[in-house]
Amino acid sequence: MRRLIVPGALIVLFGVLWGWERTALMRAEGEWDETSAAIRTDAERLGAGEFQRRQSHLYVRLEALASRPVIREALCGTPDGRAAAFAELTGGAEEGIGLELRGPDGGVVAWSGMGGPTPGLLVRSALEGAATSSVVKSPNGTQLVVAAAVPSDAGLGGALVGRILLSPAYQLRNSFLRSAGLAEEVSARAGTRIVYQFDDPTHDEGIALTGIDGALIGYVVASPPDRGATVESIREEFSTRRAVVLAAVLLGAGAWLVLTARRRLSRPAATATVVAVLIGLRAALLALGVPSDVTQSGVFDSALYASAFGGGVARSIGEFLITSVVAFAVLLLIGRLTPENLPEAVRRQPYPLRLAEAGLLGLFVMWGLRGVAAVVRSAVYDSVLGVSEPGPIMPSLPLAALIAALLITVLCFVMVALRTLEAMRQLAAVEGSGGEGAVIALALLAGAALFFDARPNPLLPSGLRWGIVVVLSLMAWWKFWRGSSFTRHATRTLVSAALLVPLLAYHTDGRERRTVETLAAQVLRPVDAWLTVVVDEGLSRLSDPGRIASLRAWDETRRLSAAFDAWASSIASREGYAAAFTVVDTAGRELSRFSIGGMNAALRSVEFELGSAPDRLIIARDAGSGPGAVAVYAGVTPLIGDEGVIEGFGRVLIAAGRQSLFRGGNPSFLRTAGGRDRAPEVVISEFRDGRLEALTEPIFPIGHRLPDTVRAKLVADPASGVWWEEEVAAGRFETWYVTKPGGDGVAGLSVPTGGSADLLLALVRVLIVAGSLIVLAGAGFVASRLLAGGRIQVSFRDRLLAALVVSALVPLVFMTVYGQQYALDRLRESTERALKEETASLAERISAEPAFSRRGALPSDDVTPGWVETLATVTGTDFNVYRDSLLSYSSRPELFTLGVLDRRMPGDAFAAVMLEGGRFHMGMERIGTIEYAVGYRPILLDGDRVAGVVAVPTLFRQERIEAETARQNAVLFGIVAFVVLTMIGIASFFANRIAAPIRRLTEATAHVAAGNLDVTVAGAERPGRLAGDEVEMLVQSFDSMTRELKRGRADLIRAEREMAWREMARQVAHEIKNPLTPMKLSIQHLRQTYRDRAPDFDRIVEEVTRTVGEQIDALSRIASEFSRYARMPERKLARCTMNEVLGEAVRLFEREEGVHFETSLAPDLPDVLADREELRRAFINVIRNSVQAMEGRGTIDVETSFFEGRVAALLRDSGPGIPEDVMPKLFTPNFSTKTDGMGLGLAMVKRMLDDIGGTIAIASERGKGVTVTITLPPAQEEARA
Amino acid sequence: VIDDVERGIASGSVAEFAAHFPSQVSITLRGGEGGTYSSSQAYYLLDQFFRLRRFTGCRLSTVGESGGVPFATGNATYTLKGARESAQVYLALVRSGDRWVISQINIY
Repeated sequence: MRRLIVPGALIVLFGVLWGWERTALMRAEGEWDETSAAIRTDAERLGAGEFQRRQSHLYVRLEALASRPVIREALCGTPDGRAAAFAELTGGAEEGIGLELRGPDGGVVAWSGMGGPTPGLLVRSALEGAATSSVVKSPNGTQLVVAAAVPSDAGLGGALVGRILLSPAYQLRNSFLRSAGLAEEVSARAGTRIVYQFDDPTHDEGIALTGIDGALIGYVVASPPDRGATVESIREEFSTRRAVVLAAVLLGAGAWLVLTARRRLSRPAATATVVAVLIGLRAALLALGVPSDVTQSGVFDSALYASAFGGGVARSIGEFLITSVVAFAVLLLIGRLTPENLPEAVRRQPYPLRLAEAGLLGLFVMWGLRGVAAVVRSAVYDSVLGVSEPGPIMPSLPLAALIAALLITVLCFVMVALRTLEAMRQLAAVEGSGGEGAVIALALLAGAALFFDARPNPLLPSGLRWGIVVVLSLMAWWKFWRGSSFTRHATRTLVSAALLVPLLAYHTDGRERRTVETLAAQVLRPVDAWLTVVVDEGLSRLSDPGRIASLRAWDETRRLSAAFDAWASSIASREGYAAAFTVVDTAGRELSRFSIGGMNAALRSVEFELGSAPDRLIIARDAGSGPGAVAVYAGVTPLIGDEGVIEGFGRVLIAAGRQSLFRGGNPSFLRTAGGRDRAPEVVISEFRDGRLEALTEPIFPIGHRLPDTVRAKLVADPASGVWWEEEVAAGRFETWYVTKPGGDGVAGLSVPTGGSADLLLALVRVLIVAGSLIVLAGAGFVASRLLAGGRIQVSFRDRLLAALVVSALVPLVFMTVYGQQYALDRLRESTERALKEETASLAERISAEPAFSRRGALPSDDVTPGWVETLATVTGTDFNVYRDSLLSYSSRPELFTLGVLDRRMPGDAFAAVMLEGGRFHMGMERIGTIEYAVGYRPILLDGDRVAGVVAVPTLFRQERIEAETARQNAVLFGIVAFVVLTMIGIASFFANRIAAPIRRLTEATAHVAAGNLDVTVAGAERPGRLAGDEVEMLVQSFDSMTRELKRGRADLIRAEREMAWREMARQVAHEIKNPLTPMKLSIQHLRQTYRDRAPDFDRIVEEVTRTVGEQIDALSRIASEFSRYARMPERKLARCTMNEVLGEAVRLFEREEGVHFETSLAPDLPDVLADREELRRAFINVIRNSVQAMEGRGTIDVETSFFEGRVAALLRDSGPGIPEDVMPKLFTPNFSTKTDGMGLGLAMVKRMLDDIGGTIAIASERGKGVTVTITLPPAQEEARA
Repeated sequence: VIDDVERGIASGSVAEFAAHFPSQVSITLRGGEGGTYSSSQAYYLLDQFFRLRRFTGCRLSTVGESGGVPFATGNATYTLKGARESAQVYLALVRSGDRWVISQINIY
């Protein structure tokens, strides 16, 4: 019955899911009106809830600010008070929230963030103590405004006004702007579109929105959903749910199978089951699409990485990581099952056959290496993440996961390769062992490498292949890493990291070059069809009937914004192209114009060519000259009204590939909106007659000579390009030189190359991930041990080493943090210096402007005058001019027109320059994801009168600086990594030196504890090495104590022996007496019945003879036991593997009903020298004792390890333990707590172990069980011969 | 190639035209994703894009050639979260050896 519970529950679960889906589908299909209404209501509730949540958040923020004393004090209006209020508002500013402090008269005292109109009623209500809210239209969109009262002790209260943008005036998603708006965000979650309506208070649809004071301020209305799409959406949703539930069920079933197999099956069968479960689960998850199809974000986003490897095993970083972890686990399990030594049958094969097999294995290693190279290549080419890409030293989560997956893959290869190389050595060994096997195997491996060298492959260059072969051979045959399992894996992980980095660097270089070559093809392409499409689409937006109708509208604002509206809804805006949209009437007069991207002059020059055309026309022209020239795609279309009459013309102009916010900002060639591809920063140069004529950035001097080799190659083959690396003052650059179309000179695309710094950056990141993996694995190991109730043993040496490493790391970490901070400070200082110079120069030029001088003050609220554009062009710097706190002029007015930037000066800058009298201020601002610095400087008139403020924004070549900072950091971290590794080496050396005598003392103590008193410690040290040292005194005392103990033990042994023999004689007598008594009684009984002529004499004879026979058998058994104890057969010592012998003993008991074995056998244990049969008997003896103690039910943990130079076996049972009074007698011959034993078993085990240098220790914990530890020294190398 | 792309978009199946991807392909998709990707990434990116939207039709109405680059433009219709929408499709090809492959595919 119980067995049916789980299947039954699953059937019910899937039945519920099925029923749920059917019900949802039936409702959607059969009761569509109700379903549609429910979806709309839910969406509207969600929309209303989100609105109220934001309003409340804003109000709470205002209330908190209003209670601050500094805000109240600022209401007095003193400059110091205002400056403090500015600092308060700016300091805690949240992105997207605008704040204003209004004085008792309603005037603005201080502000921060976004500005906008504030209804007077709101301010008045707040001044009177009532909080209110409203929704207003501003240039940048619809804003929610909340006003709260600021009470004052002096009776002069104020108001705090907060605002957030509910919906931007534009729906843009490009490199500069990412505003989505509340309605769009809620729509994405709600399953249908919602709209916030604030204009029509009499609306009778949707859910009402109320302000802080409870007044109605608008409605949220949801659109009716599409029926077909809703049904499809329900199906998709339930399909995902089914997949997730099924995956969870499969995972649970897998876990159950693993646990059951480990409990009930033999170790090999259980391991095979676990391997099958792991592979099966992996395949099942891939087939179900879990988790990639469920999340499709973060590390499961294919846009970050997706490889074409079969079955989607690496369709995302997450899937790749899961696959690599599963592969690692499977290999680890298989490796534990496979003995390190080849089977005898293989070793006995004819030598030529073995050599051939070894050769094939060599080819297998090389083939595996190629596979690893293919995986690394895919990680570089199929990914938008770069391991050596400039950025923070600490890799992002997706990059760290990708590196981890790669590291684990390489680690898998290293594990398999090491085993394979060891097998090659054994196969190649002439007499089954010895160094000659390694030499011959190395020769075979080299042959395999040469075979692959003969077939060159871009996956793996020859040099790398040979380097990796050497490293692996050293690891396989020079086992310098001998140690615990954890140390071995940690070492292999670090070696895998070292192998991975050059592979990554090789393929990264190749990928960068490929990308630049692709860019070159696109940049030099004569006409771009895509841009033609973009222009065409823009013209269609302008020709929209509604927009044409707006040209006739009486509302001038609506007419003027026609161009902007068309641009905002076009592909050009979403792609972030530098563009101009213009509407002119039939007479050619400009009715509406909007431009963005700072290419005004270039666009204007082409626009004049367009004129008026009766049909749509699109042309492409080069504007400007040299490589700075830009291809402009321009189009014109007639705007035809309702009556079929041409009412005007629409023009669209786009500068190809240009996206630039400010003059001097780097153009990002061909980088599309939101793109996460790795488009490198490219400098384009143009050569004629072998001399540089022009370039986009001055990395080479004009007249720079085209390298002769490049020139010769291009002349020889004009159709192909040439890569060339050059070191110039601006740094090291790699340039792709190509002949321009039509043979018109040579174009070069240069990218900065970090050289060894990039390699170092990759190395540091990979090492960080490798270190993290080692720490994680260590933590997992410790946690699993603790959970299993075991103990963690850390040697004194390791503790000392850890202490020394930590002592070295702490100051290094501080140094590193300081170093990074120093680099950032330097960056900030250099930016500030440049901005100081630029603002000073501009402030001087502006104050000298004739118009300015004549009028004595800046003109206000004018359109951008010509002198501003001229000054910006001449200085190559964009700037804004503020008067008081508001913008007067800007060389990039479109950013303000668009509402991207606030017309009001940022609060911190106003406070610093206008209130505190500062002569310069630098602040950070942000547009979308782009953060940039702005320098502010007062424009002085008549000596010291502040007539305005000039502000200069700069992107300060962000990418270049980030790249340089990253490389500097890489060098810094590289040095740190080198120092840390050196420190670990030194610490390890000293830890060994200091811990060595302690370790020897510990080992000697263990020997003594185990009864071996022949051990000495001082002999191992050089004379006088530790003279006067406490440790030496300890060593001498120990040796002295051991000698005394030895002498005492000899006496004791003699006495004990005598006593033992006496005891034995007494026991023998006693034991013999026991059977003699029944024998005597039986014989007497027989005689009596014979005398009595008893009628059942025959039966009694039968009975007596049986009794006598049994007693004689008992006597014989007693004699055998004593005989065996006294005279052991001749011992046959040979090398044997502890794991194998122990395994044989365990297998004898595995069929015992109720007894479960938990085995953890350490791989690669050294052999021991023992009589195999005798050792097996010893283990059988110990295990039988445990089985009997547990009364046939319980668990026996069986572990082996190599600890402190000895091979150890630990057997821990879950029996009741041994009483304390029994413990001292365990090894005493003839002592037993059992009724059917002679008590000689453990005594014989101990004697055997003593004879061959082994030890046995027994620990007991009442109620928890007994732990028996048997140790043996490893067999010496010479014993092999 | 153009027919395969048209059929693939109409049925929401990237497998229909994935064979025409070169090693690097430029992709711009409605919703912000865009850039130059490897063929493997392009496959999974478009696959995810099609999974999120149910495409119901595609017509590449204009086929032309510009500067030696064949291209096609048209419209595709799909439903997303209960709403029917349409997207502009742009496709550009490039010669690779003896066959034409997709150099750029934009679905706006």
